[in-house]
Amino acid sequence: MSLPSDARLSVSDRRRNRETITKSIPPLALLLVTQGSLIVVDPGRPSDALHVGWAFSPMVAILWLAWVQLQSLRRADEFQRVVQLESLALGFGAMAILALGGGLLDGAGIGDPRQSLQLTLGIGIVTWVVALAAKSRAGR
Amino acid sequence: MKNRLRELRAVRRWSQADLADHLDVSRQTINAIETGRYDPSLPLAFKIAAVLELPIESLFYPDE
Repeated sequence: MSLPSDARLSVSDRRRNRETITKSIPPLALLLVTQGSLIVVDPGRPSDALHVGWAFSPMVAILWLAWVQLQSLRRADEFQRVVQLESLALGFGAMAILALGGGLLDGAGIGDPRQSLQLTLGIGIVTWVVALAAKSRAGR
Repeated sequence: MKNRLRELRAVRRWSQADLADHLDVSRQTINAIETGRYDPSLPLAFKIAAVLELPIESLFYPDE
């Protein structure tokens, strides 16, 4: 029996995508501004309490983005939630292994801990995104 | 678990997106259920049965 071919997204897909994109724009803009200000402006007084707050300012945008992701996860249907959580688990696993490796290298006095931390975070996020893309692509 | 979703959808001339709209889920979810990669929860299985106006036992059956 023939089936109508229709590759369009469902109403639920479109609503969720639209809401996630719309709600991600303000925290991304804030992240750009706060991170940009850290790069461009030199405060000159690193011990100042105000400087500590300013150095942490991108965290507000990061937490906001995390909250948007959480909202998106709550709006997802049951299968999308499974896919999303499995991808997050893979990302977390990659980060845990890399953090352990970085810690061992640091213990042996090899490498820069700050760089290994940034690398760990970056690879963890990339693993999450790639796993999510691969699992989503398999479901098309 | 196997199911007759694809066959019953074809009878109604519905695309995966049409069925997904009826159930308020993603098209990806319908595809995963049809291909046997995902077994729906009981609430979703009952919702599918209600949308297709069939008893749940005529939609899903064990592998063996």
